[in-house]
Amino acid sequence: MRPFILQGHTRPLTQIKYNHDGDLLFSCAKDLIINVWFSHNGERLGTYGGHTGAIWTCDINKSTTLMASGAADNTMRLWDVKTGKCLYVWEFPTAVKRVEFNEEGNKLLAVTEERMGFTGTISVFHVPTDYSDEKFKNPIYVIKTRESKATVAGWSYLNKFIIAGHENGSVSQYDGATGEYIKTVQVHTAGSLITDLQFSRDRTYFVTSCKDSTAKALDVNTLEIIKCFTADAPLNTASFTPVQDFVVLGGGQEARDVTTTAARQGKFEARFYHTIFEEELGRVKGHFGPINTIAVHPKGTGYASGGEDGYVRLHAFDKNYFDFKYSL
Amino acid sequence: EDIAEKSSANRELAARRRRLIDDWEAYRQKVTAQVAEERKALGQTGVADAASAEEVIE
Repeated sequence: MRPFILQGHTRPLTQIKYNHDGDLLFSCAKDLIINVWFSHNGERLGTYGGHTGAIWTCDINKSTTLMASGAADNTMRLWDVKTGKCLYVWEFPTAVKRVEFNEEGNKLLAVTEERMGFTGTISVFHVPTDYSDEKFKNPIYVIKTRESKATVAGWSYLNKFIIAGHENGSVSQYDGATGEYIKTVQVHTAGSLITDLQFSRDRTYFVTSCKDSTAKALDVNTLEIIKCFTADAPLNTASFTPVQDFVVLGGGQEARDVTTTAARQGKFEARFYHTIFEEELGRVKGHFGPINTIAVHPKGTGYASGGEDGYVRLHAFDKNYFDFKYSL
Repeated sequence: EDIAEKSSANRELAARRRRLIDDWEAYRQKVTAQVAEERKALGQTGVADAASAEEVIE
């Protein structure tokens, strides 16, 4: 089926995310607004305006009542999904690059940028239920990232760990309850930035995408590399698909390197790999620039990609996708 | 001879894939069991159970 092309942003997309039920798709871009779309027809339901800097990230709680966002205006904001009202603004000394709710939706993590005298941090907050109780305003704990700043982070199953991906290609693990450092593993080529980190449905393993043109699946407990996917261009995003054991990768040559090449050579396709066999299965064309972010529908019925070109492409999988089987 | 070679290559590939699937399934079973145990220790039912219960209500 032809994808829906969602035109609602004027700048590159930074992160897109489905809600828990998969009926809504949230998109963040550098153009200061967050859009929310119906995933079945690509119609826009609304926008969330208020940030005064490029928006880097958003996440939605399980019941789709709250949305959190992080931006280059050094704030993390909490929104009422239904009314679009901003409920609270947390301020930081630097930009907020990634936010994520935990499994129960009662805690929220924020990854902050390293900048002029400020180390990168991962700060964890209570999600407010009672706004008169001010304890949600201050972090429960702040993880100061070691040697290399964190670029992405997320919660494992049972909030046992916080897993972070770093600028230098390493992945680190922290105690989810206390923020205590546990270990670091150099997963990708040293010095290559980890661009995305997404979990499996049950949050027992996750996939990292990296500028070194590989994506790796790791176990949350051991941080052992369980699978490796090799592409031919720097990667910006990776996501597992339920139903079929696939992983979707997105990326492409950096904008500064493609001025002399056609889109065809920019490797801007979304690539599908078989998770177990690590083999490439196919590619989906469409974007005119690198793919910055990919999200897979929680029920595995389709996926969406957001590009440097400012478009979101919303795809529904065909029947032959579900029929696909390896001959053994 | 070519056909014989091709079919042996196919057989090898199929055997490799089967081995990968077996390894993966063994790994997933181990992890799923461990998580179920950890959830039980915390007095939670599995997320999978909760999800299927939701489906029924719908």
